[in-house]
Amino acid sequence: MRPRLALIASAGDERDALRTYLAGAGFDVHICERLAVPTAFASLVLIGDAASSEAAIARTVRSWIKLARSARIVVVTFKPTALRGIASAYSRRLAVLAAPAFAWDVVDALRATDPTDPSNA
Amino acid sequence: MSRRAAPPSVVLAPTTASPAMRGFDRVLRAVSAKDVTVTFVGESGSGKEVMARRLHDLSSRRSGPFVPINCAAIPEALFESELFGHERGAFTGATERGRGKVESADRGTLFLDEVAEMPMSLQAKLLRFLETHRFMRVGGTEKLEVDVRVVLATLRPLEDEVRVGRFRADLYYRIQGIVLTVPPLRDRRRDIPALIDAFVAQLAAIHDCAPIRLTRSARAALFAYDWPGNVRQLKNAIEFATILRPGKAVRVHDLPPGLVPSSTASANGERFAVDLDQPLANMVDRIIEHVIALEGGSLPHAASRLGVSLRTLQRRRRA
Repeated sequence: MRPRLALIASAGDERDALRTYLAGAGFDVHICERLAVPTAFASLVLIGDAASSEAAIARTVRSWIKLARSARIVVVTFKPTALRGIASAYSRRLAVLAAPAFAWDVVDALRATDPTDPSNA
Repeated sequence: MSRRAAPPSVVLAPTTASPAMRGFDRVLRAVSAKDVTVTFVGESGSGKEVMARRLHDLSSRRSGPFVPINCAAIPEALFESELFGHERGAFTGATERGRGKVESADRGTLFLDEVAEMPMSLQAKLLRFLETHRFMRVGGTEKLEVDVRVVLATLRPLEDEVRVGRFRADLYYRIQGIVLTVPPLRDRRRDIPALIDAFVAQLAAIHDCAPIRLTRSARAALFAYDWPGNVRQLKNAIEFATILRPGKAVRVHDLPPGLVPSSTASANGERFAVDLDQPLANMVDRIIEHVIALEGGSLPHAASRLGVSLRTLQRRRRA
């Protein structure tokens, strides 16, 4: 069964293209601009744009870490340093990539994280 | 300085604004559909791994893993274990069974970068693996089979390595079927503006600062330069400017000192200009990059020409 993945990004061509790419890489991709139930997915991918608030991204990621304890989380942002602390604390569940990132870096980050590691509980 | 469009957050494919890259991508698409071994030849920093990844993404194996291995970075004693894995107790310190890269790449693509640096003893085992797709872990007795597409990369044509006895002829003939030459950046200058924009945005994000603003003349200088170190060198130049002029205008004289007009920095000649007002470290770096370019991107050959060990050269470039 293909792992369920939520792709959270502003609607547009870029999101559609990334959805196709991730589906090709073997994920069952669901797109949205805001995610109400993170626990329903094995992987969460948040794509920030140049106008995204770093504080809002950090808040969102913190809530996902708490709520979706087994999910793999990948964030692409123009402000990666705002997430440095949380990224190092949850390095095996959370990957933060500086934008613009290659789509395959997102896939590699999704496959590299290990949600079963107890240090990420 | 003109106002530029907001950069994308995610890039799905390498830049193909230039005719050279468009043509290359066309070939890549055709080759990706066939499950054959492919060898990329290209200068240092030209993006061979990016192209290998693109090949994987275009292929029917894209839902499987892409496993890269740099043959120049692994000590000879560990190479076989790294590639084929090992059984428990196979050697001192092997307290558990270890999976090799070949096993990790099952149903995907195994990318062997700088394959010319692979030890001769391992080349025979790689050849056998390419022919049968079967292998044994170090210390093992059982033959294992995997479904892997092997993609290779080399800085220079492998026939030269065969001629001087550093690469097995039988392996060369096995993998020479489809050889794709990645165009150097100087042959695809139309890709430079898009690459600059992507690196400016990405490096500002990494260094937590506002993006630099390149003046028209600075852009022109970056466009005109010959880039012997290719895309990697361009990225380093943007990083240099980002660190020194965060959020500010970057003029020609703010760019790294090595970026002189191509007439003096050309890799075609044996001479090049050195600015005596520059720190010694910068001059040394320029000499190193120039010699690497003269040697077609080959670090071992450049090290030999400079009279230093390969390790010294690699350490200096990383510094």
